[in-house]
Amino acid sequence: MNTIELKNVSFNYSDGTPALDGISLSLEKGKCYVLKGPNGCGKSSLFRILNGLSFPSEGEYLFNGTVITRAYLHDKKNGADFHSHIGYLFQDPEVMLFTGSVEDEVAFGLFQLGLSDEEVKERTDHYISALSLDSLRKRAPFNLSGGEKKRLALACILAMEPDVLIMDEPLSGLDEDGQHWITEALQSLKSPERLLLIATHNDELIHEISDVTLLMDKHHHLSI
Amino acid sequence: MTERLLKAIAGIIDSDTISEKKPSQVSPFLRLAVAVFAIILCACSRNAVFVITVLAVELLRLAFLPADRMIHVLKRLVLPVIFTMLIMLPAVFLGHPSTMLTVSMKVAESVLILLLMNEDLSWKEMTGVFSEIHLPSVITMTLDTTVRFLVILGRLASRIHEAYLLRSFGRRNDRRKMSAAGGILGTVFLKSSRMSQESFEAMQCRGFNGTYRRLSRHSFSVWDVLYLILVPVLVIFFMITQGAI
Repeated sequence: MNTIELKNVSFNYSDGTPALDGISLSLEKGKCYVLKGPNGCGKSSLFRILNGLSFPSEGEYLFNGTVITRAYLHDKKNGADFHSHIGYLFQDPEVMLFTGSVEDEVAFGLFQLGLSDEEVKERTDHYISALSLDSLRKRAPFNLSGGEKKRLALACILAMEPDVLIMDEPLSGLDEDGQHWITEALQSLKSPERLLLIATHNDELIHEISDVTLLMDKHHHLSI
Repeated sequence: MTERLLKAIAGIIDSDTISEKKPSQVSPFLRLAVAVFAIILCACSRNAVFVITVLAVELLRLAFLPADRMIHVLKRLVLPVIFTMLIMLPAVFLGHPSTMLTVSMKVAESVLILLLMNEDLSWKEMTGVFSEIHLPSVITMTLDTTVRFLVILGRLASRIHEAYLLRSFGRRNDRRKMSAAGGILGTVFLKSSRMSQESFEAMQCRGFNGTYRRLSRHSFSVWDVLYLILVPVLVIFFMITQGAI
């Protein structure tokens, strides 16, 4: 069974402008998919649908065989279960960081999962170390540099240990060292149990980590 | 005027409440509770000795701060005290000059206690107190998010203002400035609206179910015990000065 399946999905903005046009797609675990396309082609809209933030105007979105609809996610239990399987790294990490310290930020998602205090602490410590954030753990996230914010946002997502990782432009706004660091981190995240879907314009990143490259064109169509 | 308004908005980022400080050795909850308790005792006191003594102790604490912090605190203290004296001025003409003095001292003492607490405690510790006293987590979360937005939007306003200054070199007048300020504030408002929506979505993506907890909590220490001793000392001194003992 495919983890993510889109069946003839179209999406229009509230003013009727099309963002996605008849997209069909099957994504399975163990692969790293890279999505490439010009600005405004609908990549972000596609990611919003995959994360349950928007819903198709037409067509169906299936996650692990279940049709994802607004009504389905409205049920708190279903919503919590769905979001525990998908980690989404926003293009702008600033919007993802809202607590008072780095460690509280990483722990936030873990508390939502209902883990015990010990487990939350253990996982928080582990991912803070794994992403080299030890020296920053008491700092307020909004005072970090761009690269540090990106690493923290990634730590927040990884700590929840999702099966599916979706990332929107993970290299944007980073210097060369930061890009190199994130590229290596993404490579290490590839596993048979995990699905990676990354939107990027960076050809080097595509070359380094992509198993399958998905291309979106300006007419909002997708090809492999 | 316009420039000053923009600078004030951008200046929020330099606010002491938001800047990061060393974690307090004494429990923030205890600090806040003792401060509120001391303010209440001073307000209830009918004897100037108690108020003067507490004020003297607070001024002594102030004297141990670095010079720049001391000036910073005193600058903030002056305005409320002068304002109170002006309001209480009629009491002098009605033949009760001591009333003006006592009330002004009480205001000075209360404001000084809060300012000194603000010098030591970070905003994180202050909002953390709310979760310690089991207020609904939505209150702590709202405060944390508000502070964060103030910082981010303050920086944004500052950047847009700088960009405006660079682009309008040599052709600035009041009308243009006013129009630019409107544009900057409008942009900041739109940005804040978009950011709050995106932040909520980011929280949803991390399975937000209303839980908002802190990982680190203050553990009870010797400093807390020493600080706790202040409570009976204050009460006994208060009772002595009020003639109850």
